[in-house]
Amino acid sequence: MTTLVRRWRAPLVLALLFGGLASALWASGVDPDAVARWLQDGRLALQHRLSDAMAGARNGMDIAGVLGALTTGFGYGALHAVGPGHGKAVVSTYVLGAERRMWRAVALAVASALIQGLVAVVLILGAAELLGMTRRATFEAAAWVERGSYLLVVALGLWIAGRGLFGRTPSHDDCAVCAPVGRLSSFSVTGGELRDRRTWWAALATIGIRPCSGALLVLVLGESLGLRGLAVAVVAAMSLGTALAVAGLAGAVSSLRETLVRAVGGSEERVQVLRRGLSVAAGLGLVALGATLLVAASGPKHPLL
Amino acid sequence: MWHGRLVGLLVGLSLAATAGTAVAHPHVWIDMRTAAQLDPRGRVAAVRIEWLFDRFYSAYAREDVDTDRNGGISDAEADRWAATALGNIAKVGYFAEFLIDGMSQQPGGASQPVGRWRDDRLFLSFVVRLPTPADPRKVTVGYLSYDPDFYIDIRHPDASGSATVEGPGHEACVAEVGRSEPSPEVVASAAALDKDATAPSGLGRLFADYVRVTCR
Repeated sequence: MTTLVRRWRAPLVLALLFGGLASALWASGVDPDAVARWLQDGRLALQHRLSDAMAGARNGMDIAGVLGALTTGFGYGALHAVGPGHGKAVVSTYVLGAERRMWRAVALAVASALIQGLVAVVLILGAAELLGMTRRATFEAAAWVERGSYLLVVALGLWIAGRGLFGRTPSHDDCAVCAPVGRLSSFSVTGGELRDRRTWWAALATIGIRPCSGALLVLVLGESLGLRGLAVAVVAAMSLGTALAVAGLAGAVSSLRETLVRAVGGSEERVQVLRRGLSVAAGLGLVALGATLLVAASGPKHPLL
Repeated sequence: MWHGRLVGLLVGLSLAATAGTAVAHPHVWIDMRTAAQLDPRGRVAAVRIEWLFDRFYSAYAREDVDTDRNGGISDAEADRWAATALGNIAKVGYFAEFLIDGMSQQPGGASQPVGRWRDDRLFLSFVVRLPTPADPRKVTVGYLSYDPDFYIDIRHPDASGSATVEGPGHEACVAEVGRSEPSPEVVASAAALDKDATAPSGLGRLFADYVRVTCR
C-alpha cells in the first residue's frame, strides 16, 4: 500500500495542480481566445519596438540604443517561442518519444534555436550578397529549405516509430535512471547510447535547418538600413531568447516523460513497453506533424510575398 | 492487455496535440485605416482601405517597388506596385469581408489602387465594393480586413479616428472598431444562411478588427 502511494504521489500532485489551475481559469471565465490575443498583442508590441529601435539606430548608434535593440530582440525571440509554433511541437514531441536525458533535451532545444538563427544569417548574407540573389529569390530558397526540413521531420518520425516497434530491447545499461550520465566515456558507450546520440544529431539537423522567418525579416531590414552588424547581433539575441523558452518546454516535457515512466514503472518489462509505446506514439505524431506542415508549406504562396 | 490500450491512448493524444500546434504566427503587421463610403442614398457602397506596412515587410518589398533600381521610390513606381499587389490579393477576396445583416459577403470588386513610400514604409490604399449597397439604418453593416493565414496581422491602431465614414450625410454616421466581434453565433448563422459564400475561416479572423457602421 505504501509503495503504491509513494509511486503515485508525484504524478498525482502534478495532476491535481494542473487540474486545479485549469478549472480555476475556466471558472474565472478566462477565454482561451483572449489569452491568445493577449500574447499576440505582446508580440506585436515588441515587433514595433524592435523595428523602431533598428530604424533609430540608423541616425547614429549609442550603447543604450544597441542594448535596447538587443534586449527587445531577446524578448521578441522568447515571446516568439511562446504559443503555437512548429519548432516547439517538433522538439517536444521528439523529447516525449525519444529523449530520456533532460540535459540532452535542453541542449537540443538550445542548439536548434541557435542554428535556426545561423541558417537565416547564412541564407541572407550568402544568397543575397555572394550569389547576388534578389530578396524574393532568397525567400523562395528559404521556403524550399523549410519544405525539406518538414520532410526530414517525417523521416525522423518514421525512424523513431520504427525503432520503438522493431528495435532491440535496450539492455539495463541504457536505463537513464540507473546509469550515471557523467561516467559514460566514449569507450564505455553502449549500443543504445550510441543510437540515442545519433538520433539526437538527426533531430538537431532536422529542426535546426529550418531558418527562422522572423530572423530573415530582421536581416532584410538590417541590409536595407545599412546596419548589417546590428541585424546579425539582434538575430543572435532573438535566437537566445527562443532557445531559453524552448529549453524550458523541452525540460518540462522530458521530466514529464521520466515521471510517467517511473510512475508506471516497477517491473523492467513494463518500463520497456512504456518506452516503446512512447517512441511509437511520438514517432507517429512527428510523421503527422511533418506531413501537415509540408502540406501547409506547399499550398498557394501568400499573395503579398 | 493494458499496454495495448495505453499505446493507443498515447498515439491518439499525440496526434490530437500535433494537430492543434501546427499553426503559424504573424511576422508582418499592417497599421490600417478604413473609411466606409456612402452613396447618394445614404447606403454603404464601398470601403476604402489604407494599409501602412511595417518596416520589415517594406524592406523586403522595396526591391520589387524600386523598378528602375535608382535607390529612390517615386509615386509612379509605388502606384505600379499597388496595381500589381491589388491584382495579387484579388484571389483572396482582397483580404476583406462584409457582414451584412449577419451574412458573410465577399467584396464585389476593388479599384483605385494607390501606392506610396512614406518614411521607409510602404503604403497601399484601395477601395472594395459591396456586392450590393446596404443601408445601415435598415440592416447591420459591418466589415473586416484580415489575412486568414495570419502571416500578416492587420489592425486599426488604437487611436480613435482610424475608421471613419465618408460621403453624403456622413455626419449622421459612425464607424466603431471592435474586437472579438462578430460573436460566434453570428458567424455560425452566417455560414448556415449563406452557403454560396466562402466560409469565413482561418486563424487571422480570430484576431481581426470588426468595424460596424451605424447611422442615425
